[in-house]
Amino acid sequence: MNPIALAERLLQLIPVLFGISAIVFSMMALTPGDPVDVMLGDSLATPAQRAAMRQDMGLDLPMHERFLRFLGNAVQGEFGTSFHHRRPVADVIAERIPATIELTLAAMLLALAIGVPLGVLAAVRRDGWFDRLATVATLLGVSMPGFWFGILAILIFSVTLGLFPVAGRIGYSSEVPFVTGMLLVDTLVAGKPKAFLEALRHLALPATTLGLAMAALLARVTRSAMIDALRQDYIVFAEAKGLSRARIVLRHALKNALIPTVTVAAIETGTLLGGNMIVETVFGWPGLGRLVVEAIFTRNYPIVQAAVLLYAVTYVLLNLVADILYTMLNPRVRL
Amino acid sequence: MSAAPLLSIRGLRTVFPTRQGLVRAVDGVDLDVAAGECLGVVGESGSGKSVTFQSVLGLVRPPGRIEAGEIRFDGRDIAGLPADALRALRGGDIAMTMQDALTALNPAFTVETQIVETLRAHRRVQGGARALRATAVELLARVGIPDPESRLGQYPHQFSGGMRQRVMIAIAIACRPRLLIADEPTTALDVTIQAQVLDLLAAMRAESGMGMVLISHDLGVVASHCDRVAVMYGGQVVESGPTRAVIDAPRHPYTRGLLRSRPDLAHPERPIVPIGGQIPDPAAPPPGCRFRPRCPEAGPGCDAPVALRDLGAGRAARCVRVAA
Amino acid sequence: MSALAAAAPETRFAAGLHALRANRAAMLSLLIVAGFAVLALLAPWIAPHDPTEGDLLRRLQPPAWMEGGEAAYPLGCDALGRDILSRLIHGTRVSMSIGVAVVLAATAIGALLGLLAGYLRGGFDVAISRVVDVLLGFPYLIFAIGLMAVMGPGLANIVLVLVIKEWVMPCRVVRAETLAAREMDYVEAARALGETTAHILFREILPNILSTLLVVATFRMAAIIIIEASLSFLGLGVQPPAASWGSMIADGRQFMLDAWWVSTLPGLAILALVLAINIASQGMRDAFDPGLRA
Repeated sequence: MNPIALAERLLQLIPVLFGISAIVFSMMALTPGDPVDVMLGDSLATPAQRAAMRQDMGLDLPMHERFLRFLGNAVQGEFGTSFHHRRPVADVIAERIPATIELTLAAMLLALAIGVPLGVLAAVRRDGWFDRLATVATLLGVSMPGFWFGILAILIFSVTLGLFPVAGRIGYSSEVPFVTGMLLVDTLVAGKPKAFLEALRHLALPATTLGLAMAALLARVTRSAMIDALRQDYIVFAEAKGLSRARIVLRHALKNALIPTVTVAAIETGTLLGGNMIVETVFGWPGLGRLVVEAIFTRNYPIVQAAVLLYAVTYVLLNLVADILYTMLNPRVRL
Repeated sequence: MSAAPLLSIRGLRTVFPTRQGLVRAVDGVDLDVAAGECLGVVGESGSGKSVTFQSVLGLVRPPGRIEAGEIRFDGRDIAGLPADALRALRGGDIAMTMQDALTALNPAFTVETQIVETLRAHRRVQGGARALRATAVELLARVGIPDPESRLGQYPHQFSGGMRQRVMIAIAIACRPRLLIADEPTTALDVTIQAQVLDLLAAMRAESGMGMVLISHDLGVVASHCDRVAVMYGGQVVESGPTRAVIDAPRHPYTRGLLRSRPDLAHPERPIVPIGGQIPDPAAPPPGCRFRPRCPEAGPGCDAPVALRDLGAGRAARCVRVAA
Repeated sequence: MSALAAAAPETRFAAGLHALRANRAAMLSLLIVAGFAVLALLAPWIAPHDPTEGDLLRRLQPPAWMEGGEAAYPLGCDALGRDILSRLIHGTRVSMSIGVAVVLAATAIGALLGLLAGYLRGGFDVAISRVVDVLLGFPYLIFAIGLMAVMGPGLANIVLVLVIKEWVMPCRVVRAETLAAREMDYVEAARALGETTAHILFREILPNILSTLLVVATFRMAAIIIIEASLSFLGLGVQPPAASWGSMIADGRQFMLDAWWVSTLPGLAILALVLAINIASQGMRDAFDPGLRA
């Protein structure tokens, strides 16, 4: 993508981001109940104290001014104070982000590692028994509710077989110095292979649960893209050149088939963000998703507001990444 | 033809199972190509001309298969060869170009990659990456692509139609094949470029002494570049012989129909008469002569099977009304 | 497809039905979906027990085929001693009615806006497309969870929240198809004949994209059912004591070790229904819209 096209694409983001902020703002502004009441709870504050607090939070301003204030603050990463934690929302959220990124990346890599080979093999053996089996498996994968799969996985692999821990990211005995916040990285940096394996064991089930539906989806996309690629004239010509079957399938067909696959993978990573809430709740994974779910039930609206905005912005940026990857992989549209 | 031909096809039958039944796309084809010779193969789409040479290269896609016949290349029967041996032959001793270079070249790879992988597959170049690259440059130069060094790193879509066709020819001749099968080399091209590509093919043949098969639906293309011509219809060869002789005095009604259906530059006043009717249903060809339903000269006796008859002077025709 | 579409939508639809009937897996799946629909419609008459009345003596009673089970409670009981089969049957009602309501409303709204945006273009199209872009900017579940948190749980709110997000899907499809149809001969002919815009939209264009819309709608219904179950699982959906598959799974979670059936069976119900809808919608796509088949 050349700089001009990229700049154009970035400009298009502005109205979308504005609209997203407006929706997130109004979601919270229209919430029934007074945030000050929620914040102070049952504490004995005088009406004057309450009024002062309202003014402090800008709740007495007209709606449009409150929105502008919200926008200005959001751009600076300022989302107020978490009711529950009595700390800045940005700090509370920042703490949780590495765990969520680690889980999401692991799920995405797993999905790619399972989905792409599955799709390639199914396409090459089209209508054979492997293809039929893969079709059934991918249909099950996209039809399975993730939280249910997670619960079953815990029952079978953790509780019954004892292969994996039931919840959390790492055992209490391991101490890992903070570098990136992603334990798989930090344990390696600290040179603690035992802790690394422990973190990996904790990550295995949640990442599998989260990545399962995406693996199924990627397998279907890869399969149909491969079938399409293998039908093309350039495959016949590659055969006529005397290339090996492996090179024809894995280079000539796959490089073209990966264009839609990688695009879908980038977009679907955004969907994984949504799945995080469920999976983190099921596996007690201390990430952003679980924070949001907790915040909803404690009516900790500043956290919910900031997190929803963060998720949406990340999702939009991932779509941009998908576009850029598409042009990079596809020489024909490279400008 | 005194010496054994380079390619010799005898009784080739290639079939495709379909819902309507078994389609004999190629049904008893005999063809010869001598070393250094150019054979033109002419017919409408669906005549079996392309499938015949896909069979030669082992490129018939399952469930299609060669059911009968032999294909001798350099005296060796290659019809039943295992996949590995066929692969060594393809792009090595027998190369092919396709109708449209835009779809035949992989859009996701540079021209260099697509030339070099062919050289690698057949281990035709000694030395490492630099030698391979040098050979690729040389090949592009040979097919008349200006500034080959800088164009090597480009993708197919960055070339014009004619230049792309040249790239494809460069890939085909990369391993110095002894036989080049050019499948409709001009159909996808502008008229002005058609002649250039045909001339290039002729020049490559003259340079290397390779045999060539030029598949076309256009008798004109074949007439100017081929020593001999074979006319195919309904999966069979209906007439063959030296090009000049066949065009000057066609012996099969279908060949006559083909000649009448195209403009004649020497006699522009002659009307163009298209062949009436449609090609037969490949799943249920008419019994006897396949051309009978469309033949203006059909009469009694045409509904019996008819063999390709040797007419002498290297000519043959598949018509009961032709006397030897 | 375009030539066919222009010719006669009725014939194309009939051809699609014919192709669908030949697809055994799709027909079986449709039958399963129909079975679930019957359960949903007749839930109060079919369910053997009251789904909300528990008998604490039957707390976590196993299914009939296990030791300690009894035939009157074939799939056992939950932690409050409520009959799981009856709750599953009533849960079908919740899942199906939310799925159908959301898809119907979203399709109606989305199709109308999509038709207008694609046909009128100009400012209206720009406005609609902007809104679509913004709504697409939210991951589905995040949007639903955020809005549910604000609006509070409940059946009507779930439907409302999901429709607010869901109409975008049919709208995009219809808008694209309308933009294409606009340039086709049959529409130009209708315009030349002086037909009203309403006539062109609803009598000329809409019938031609109906089969595509049907495929999208069934395919989306599967997604909606999973999303509703997810919301209910998190406690943001249908509220107790009403039975929803998602909340049943959540309820049974803590007893998983002693009473696996409480969570496992509702999950199987979701899997069966969603799988059947997915297979059916794939069959319909292959039958009605071969062009969509990748």
